[in-house]
Amino acid sequence: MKEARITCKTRTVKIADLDIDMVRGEVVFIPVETASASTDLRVMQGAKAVEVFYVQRSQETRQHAPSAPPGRGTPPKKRKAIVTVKGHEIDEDALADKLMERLMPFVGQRVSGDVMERMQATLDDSMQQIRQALQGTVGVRPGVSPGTMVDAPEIAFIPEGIVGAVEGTVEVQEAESEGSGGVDDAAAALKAARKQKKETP
Amino acid sequence: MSDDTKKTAVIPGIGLDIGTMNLVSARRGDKGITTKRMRDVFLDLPTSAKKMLKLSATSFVEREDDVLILGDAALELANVFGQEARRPLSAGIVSATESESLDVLGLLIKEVLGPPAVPDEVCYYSVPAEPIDQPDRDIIYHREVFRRIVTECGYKPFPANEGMGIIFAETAKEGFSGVALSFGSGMTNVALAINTIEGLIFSVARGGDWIDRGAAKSVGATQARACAAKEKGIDLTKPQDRLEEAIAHYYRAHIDYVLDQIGLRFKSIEGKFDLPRAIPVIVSGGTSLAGGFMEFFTKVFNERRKRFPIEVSEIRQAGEPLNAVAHGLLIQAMQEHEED
Repeated sequence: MKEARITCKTRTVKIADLDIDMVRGEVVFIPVETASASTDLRVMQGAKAVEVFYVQRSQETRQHAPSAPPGRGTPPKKRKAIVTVKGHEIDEDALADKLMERLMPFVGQRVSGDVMERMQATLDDSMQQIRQALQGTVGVRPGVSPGTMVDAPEIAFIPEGIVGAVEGTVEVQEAESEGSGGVDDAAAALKAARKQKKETP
Repeated sequence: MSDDTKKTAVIPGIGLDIGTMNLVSARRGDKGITTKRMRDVFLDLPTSAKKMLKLSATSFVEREDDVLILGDAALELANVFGQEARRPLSAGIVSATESESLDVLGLLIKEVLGPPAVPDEVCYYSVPAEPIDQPDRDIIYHREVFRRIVTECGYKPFPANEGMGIIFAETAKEGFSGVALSFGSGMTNVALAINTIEGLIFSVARGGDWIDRGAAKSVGATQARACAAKEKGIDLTKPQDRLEEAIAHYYRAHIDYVLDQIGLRFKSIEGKFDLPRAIPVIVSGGTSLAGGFMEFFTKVFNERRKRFPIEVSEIRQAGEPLNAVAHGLLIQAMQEHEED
């Protein structure tokens, strides 16, 4: 029996009039007559979203394809993940603590429109920071082609690699004083004061 | 002297004052104190400005889409291009949303600190106190950002209060007791210390920028022009034109406001500690460098002296108002190495 072998060549494809959803690499066999009658399949083929080959399958080695595709073209397969995102645990307690630290100054204040406004602004700012920190931890990051494995960046309250992100020469005013300008005397006095404090019960 | 010999002569420990307008580092060299300073500002220009910058021999940092001019040159060129120079810090505190500024700060601090003299060299860096008039702003993010930057520069970071830095630098003869006022660009920090112990620290979110902004607005000038007039060498007691007069009025209002806040805060802790003797008030910071500032300040203070909650022995200016905080931090850093 002659059949059409449809291979998905793009990330996902939906052939609406056949009611077939496919992901990249997935193969579906349907009867030739059904394939020929499908307008959507032709459109997808023209867009190179799918590849269609007409094949004769051996009944001895392969199971007969379902005669009509009223339902799904194929039984659901275990789909391979296209992009694997490494999970990262979010320390909810730490986030809550940080939020609380920012909101603490409002505790005990008289409720007024102004206070509520500033509190709302603080809350919005905090949420924005959290959203920024979470960006890039899910989905495909810009510049990463689908199908590649990506490691999500660590969720960081403060980014790493601040030093070195911008390189260049900067003119710095440098001056060296003659003598310590009282620094040595103050250091000695501080040392003595701390020593005395330690010795005094 | 070879570089290696020079390195061994340096006493470990460095102080870093992180201000809205200036970044200052101080370390003990073989002869005296070496300070490095640069403006905490930058300007981003389109890549088309590169040729002009090369012709004017201005240092710049080239990026993919633009060029960055950093430090003093940024402030000068901002006027030429009619732009406002960008500040990584706003009102004394780093902005959480300005991620681009962080990269610039990383470079500026790396240059101001230089490489550590010894592995894990101690770096005390300044952190402002929480602003009492802006309770929605805290210093936690600020403190941690600089901890990260200083660590990435190869140092062992220790955050320390800005006002207390002045106490350590300037009040040794009073047994590290006094009231330190750091009149900065973004904010004004206040610290009260008794025998090295921090009694009260706070800040107000007003400083030189507030004066510039207010004065400029009142005479229809730009903030940059007001700042330039102030830094050119204004005498607050003898203003020469409308702008200078406006600046003097805003200075007066600022000093009034700071003293009001000190009075209120000190009153709130009155009776909670004993002051065995009168203590000095130390005035420091770039905003206090304006001509006639001390005369101005003393006059305003004396009008309120009777109502001031603590007994003041004298009012004096720090020896080096731009470097006092960095010196105080250096003292603490050197101490840390000695204790190791």
